Amino acid sequence: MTASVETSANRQSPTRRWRRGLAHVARWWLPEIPFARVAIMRAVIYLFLIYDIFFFRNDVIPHGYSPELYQPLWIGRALPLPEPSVGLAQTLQIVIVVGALIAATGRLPRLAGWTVALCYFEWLILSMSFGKVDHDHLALVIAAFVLPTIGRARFSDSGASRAGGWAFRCIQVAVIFTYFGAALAKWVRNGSPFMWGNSAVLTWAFIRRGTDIARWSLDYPWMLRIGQWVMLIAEYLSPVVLFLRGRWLYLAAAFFLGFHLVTYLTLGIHFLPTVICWLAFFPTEKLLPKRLHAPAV
Amino acid sequence: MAWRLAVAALGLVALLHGTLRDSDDFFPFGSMAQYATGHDLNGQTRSTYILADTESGQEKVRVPLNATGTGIGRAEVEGQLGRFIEDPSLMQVIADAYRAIHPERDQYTHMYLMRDIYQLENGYVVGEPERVKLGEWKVVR
Repeated sequence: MTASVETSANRQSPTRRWRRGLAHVARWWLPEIPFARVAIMRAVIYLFLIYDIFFFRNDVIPHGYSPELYQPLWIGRALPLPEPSVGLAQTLQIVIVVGALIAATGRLPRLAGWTVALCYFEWLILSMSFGKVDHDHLALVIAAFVLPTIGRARFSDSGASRAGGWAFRCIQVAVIFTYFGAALAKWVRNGSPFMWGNSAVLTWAFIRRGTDIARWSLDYPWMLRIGQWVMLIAEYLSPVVLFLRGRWLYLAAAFFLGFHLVTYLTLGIHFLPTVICWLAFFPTEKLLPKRLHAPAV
Repeated sequence: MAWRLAVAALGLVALLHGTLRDSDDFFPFGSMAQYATGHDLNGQTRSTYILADTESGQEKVRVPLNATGTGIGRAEVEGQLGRFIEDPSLMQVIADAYRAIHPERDQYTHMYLMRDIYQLENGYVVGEPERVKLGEWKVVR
């Protein structure tokens, strides 16, 4: 039995094996997910975008008063994007609010969705082109651009969508890259994969912006170093989350969300734009009230 | 469906590119480099801020370097610190922005670009921070 399996494997040409591998990758990137999950994600993400531009990335209108400090990012130099101004920021704000409210209901998923994606992207560019780029928005930007590709999806739609599956995979990968990429960045910047763990980075961070519940820990640098090692190892292992299911997935999510809670309490850095995108990992449609469930066919 | 796989592959390449170039210039595909620099256990920690004298005669009050105060964040001033040190008149921009955003508040007449330097030894903060003036600017109305 074993021998015959081996011969059939040997008989497989490299091209066929390559093709099978590719099909495997394609299946992973294009799972089927219920339309209702898409509808829920849309409602959450688009409403969150509105919250974001008013309460988190709320420096775009004020930036309009200081165009002299505008230092365009690569995309702003490569494309003829408008210079920052109060009027431009207010216009973007109105379009994003109206567009996001429409898109959140599932109406005009492509027209409203693309409009919001482009305006929100420009909003973030104007926010981050003044000398500081934050990394908590990667997954949310990706979500804004992939959600319009799914097309129509209502809470009460039955059936499943591969286009939706791809969009959710993209969001998941962006969430995970926020951690894994952070580990790689530490490697690239410090010249070795684990040097960062033994550094004084948390001391540096707490001196500069530590909250009252963080500052006492400056007297215990060994403890901060343990924290750094835990974070670093978790970041390197984060891609595993993409392949977890069930209880392990919930545990992993709880760990990373707990990490964000701690950085919020100690540094005032909440990463909610990434946190909200963790929803892409879970079967949220199960939370819908029964009357909204798709009728069984 | 094939274009979706191509887009996903391109996105991953873009993310890897930004990471290896160690640059966040390629937003949103830049390096996730926040807090990525490992700081020396025996090095210095620097913190930049701006103080100002005001029209009502208050001296050296802290200028709110954040979105709702002046619209310009502390990290943004630090990100362009070389420009501010070379040309302290850029602080005029911040004073003007503050006046535009909060016309009802006590306005700035003189601004001081400051830096506190904390010395670390074996990861512990030792002594009081050293305070350095990096530049100043008399605000023009």
